[in-house]
Amino acid sequence: MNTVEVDNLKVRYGKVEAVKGISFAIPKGEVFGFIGPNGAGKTSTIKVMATLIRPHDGDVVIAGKSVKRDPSAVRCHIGYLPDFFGVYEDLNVLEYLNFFAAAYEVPRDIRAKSVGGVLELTDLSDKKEARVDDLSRGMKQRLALARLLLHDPEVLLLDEPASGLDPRARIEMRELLKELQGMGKTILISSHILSELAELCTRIGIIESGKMVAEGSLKEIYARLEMRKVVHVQITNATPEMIRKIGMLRGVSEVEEDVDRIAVRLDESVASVEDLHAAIHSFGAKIRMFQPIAMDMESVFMKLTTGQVS
Amino acid sequence: MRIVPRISLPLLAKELVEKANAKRTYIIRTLCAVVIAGVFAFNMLNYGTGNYRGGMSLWAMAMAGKTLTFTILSMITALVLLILPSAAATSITSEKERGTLELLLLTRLGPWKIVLQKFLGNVIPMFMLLFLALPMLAIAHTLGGVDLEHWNEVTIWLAELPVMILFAAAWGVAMSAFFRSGAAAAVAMYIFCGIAFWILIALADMPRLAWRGPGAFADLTALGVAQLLLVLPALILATVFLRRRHTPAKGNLALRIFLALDRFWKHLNDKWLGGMEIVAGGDVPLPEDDPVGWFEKYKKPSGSKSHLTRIIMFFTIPAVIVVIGVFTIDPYYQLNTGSRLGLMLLAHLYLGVAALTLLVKGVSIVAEERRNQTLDVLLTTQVSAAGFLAAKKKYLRRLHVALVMPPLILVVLALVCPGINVSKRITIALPTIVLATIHLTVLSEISIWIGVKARNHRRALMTALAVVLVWILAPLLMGALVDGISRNTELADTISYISPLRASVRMFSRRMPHLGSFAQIITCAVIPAMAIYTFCRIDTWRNAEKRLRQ
Repeated sequence: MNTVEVDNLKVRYGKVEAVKGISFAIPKGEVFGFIGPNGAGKTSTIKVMATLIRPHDGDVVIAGKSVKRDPSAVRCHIGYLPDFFGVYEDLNVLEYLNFFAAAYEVPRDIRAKSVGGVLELTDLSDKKEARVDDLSRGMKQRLALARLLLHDPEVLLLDEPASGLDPRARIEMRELLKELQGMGKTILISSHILSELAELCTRIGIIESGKMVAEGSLKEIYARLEMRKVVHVQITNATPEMIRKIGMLRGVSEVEEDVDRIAVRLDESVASVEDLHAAIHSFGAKIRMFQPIAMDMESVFMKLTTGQVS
Repeated sequence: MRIVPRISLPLLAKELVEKANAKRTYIIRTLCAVVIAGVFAFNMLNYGTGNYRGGMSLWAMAMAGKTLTFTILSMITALVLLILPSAAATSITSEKERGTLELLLLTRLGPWKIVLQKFLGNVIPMFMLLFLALPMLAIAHTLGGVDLEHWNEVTIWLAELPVMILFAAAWGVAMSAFFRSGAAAAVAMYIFCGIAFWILIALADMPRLAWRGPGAFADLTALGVAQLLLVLPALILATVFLRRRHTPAKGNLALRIFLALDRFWKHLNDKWLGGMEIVAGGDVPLPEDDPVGWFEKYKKPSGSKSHLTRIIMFFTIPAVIVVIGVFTIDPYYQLNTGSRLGLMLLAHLYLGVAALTLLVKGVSIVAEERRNQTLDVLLTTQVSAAGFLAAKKKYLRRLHVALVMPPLILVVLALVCPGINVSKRITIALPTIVLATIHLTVLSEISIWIGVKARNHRRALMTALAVVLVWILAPLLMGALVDGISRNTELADTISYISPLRASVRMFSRRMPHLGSFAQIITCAVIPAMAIYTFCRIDTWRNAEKRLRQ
């Protein structure tokens, strides 16, 4: 059953049509990666889903409620994380969360428990007396996630959640999102850090100039684009002959030589990664590293988009 | 080899290009041209009614020429004084608010060049406005009527106008460099202009001046020289402020002063009274049902009762002390007309401050949340746009009451003094209180309406100021036009009372109007004001969801 259904959505700002009739659906518990160049219409789409913009045409239905007809009901089911962190000066973490708990109309008798729960989940329990403005960017982003979980929404709309975070904070955020995925939340996440989306998302949608150019699981999109999986291999006793042999293997379309490794492009429909490993080993190669890259999403992105804005 | 170094003014070029690209520049210029042309047409029409044999008499022509010359000069002065302070005061603060000032300071421009280019960026458009009026002045001059004595006045006034522009632009830029938010800088600049011109005019022996008479020439020269001498110090001050205060707003200056005073009193209390508990304090509770209201009440200075009390005390106590002092020294002293007038003027100055503060706070209701990027998040919760506005307005009303209290106390003080009979006390105090309350309520609603409509704080502020300007000036012009064309003074008066300025000045004119006249003023001021209020209120509520969720 689909928790989110976007049907022929159109968004206009004056004469500019930012979103030109996109449709997609997100089944319950899935993580949907929303990808596109700057100005493609991602934020406009998410804002419609968050009931912040009224669609010009089409509709979005979240948990059975239409954003057009029943925006107030939709708000009960969504948690929205914008691509910026709004600061209320002079509030501490506890006050900030209680402020939003009241705004989300979380019943008073369970409010303290909800706030405590999200603080624990986001590992901010020891920061509850700290001023929001004084938190690091990573902590602010965790606090923002805590805020949107206060009313236990089914759907999380995350607009660039990892933007501007340092590597540690990005990893923490990713782990947190995985935990939320495990809790059965339906998540729509837009990001430019494509490799992270690849690890998290069960489906992706690529939008450009307000139109959806591809949508489906990564495997489906790869198959459609005839993309190859990339496997990075470090061989300590590599010889030109050995590399030539690897290039001749079944399913291998290309071998790129790098300073300390080779990148093997493999068509998984012909040969599996395990077959490749066994074949290279059979050439007498001493393998120090064998790393199939989860997805080469940058390539998908570059192949599908031309950098146009709507 | 280049002898004269090439002067590069990139910031000035950017300022002028930005102004040239902005619609409001053309709107303001067109409005100014329309107003000046309207005044011109009205004067020609007014004196043309005394014509005979199908043409204008020489006397009428001369009178038209003289009136036109002085009216156009007055109009330009008024326009400059109304537009320039806010434009100059927001020139650097807008860079601070956008976070671009620090980037500018990292370039090779340096504070001095930034200040100079911002100064020129404000001066040049004003000079353009001045040039706009020159052809009209030339035509007026050809009609005659300006004799040698008046010609001196005209010349010195024409020379004074650019000086005034330089003065206001320089101090506006200084204010802009000092303050960290555009709203605070604009309010401070209008207050500063009021006080500065009052002091300068007093120094130049204004009672003799009145824009004519034998002393006018010397007085105006003194005024101009004084202003010119103050331009450079203002620019130097702006450079100093720019070096030290280039970060965006962090808290509220008035609040910081009051908090420092609180700490001082607490220190005295601890030292001399052993920390006696005078006012029961308490911890801030967590928000329960009304989060926006909670935030306004506990986290904003304007929501706390103690801060509002401070505002009332700050404005009222000095005036009350002076009045009590006068009565203590001489119990038989009766506040004469002059002293009473002084109190009334102070009350009106306070009302002006209240009006400006409410205007800024009104337009900031939404802009502040947009600037802090908290509005979008808040509107995805169960807080509706209308609920959000209602909570904000509730606390704006408290500030409104606190700001209105000091001037009203002064009005009452001026009228309870001996020397004025009871009926006059009632006929002056009551309409004043009614008018002030109504005008400030309408102003507050207009600014909220504009704040909700506009996407940008600076634009909202400028639009609100322009709307207030139209509210003040349009009825005056319309009234004058009706008087000129139809000679229907009563109708002209009725129209002119729509202007808050005209209505309030009429209340305190030397020849006190009778009760019927008061009723007329109140009716004329109240009905259109209520219509504006109703329109703004309905439009704000009806479109709140649409406009806030943009």
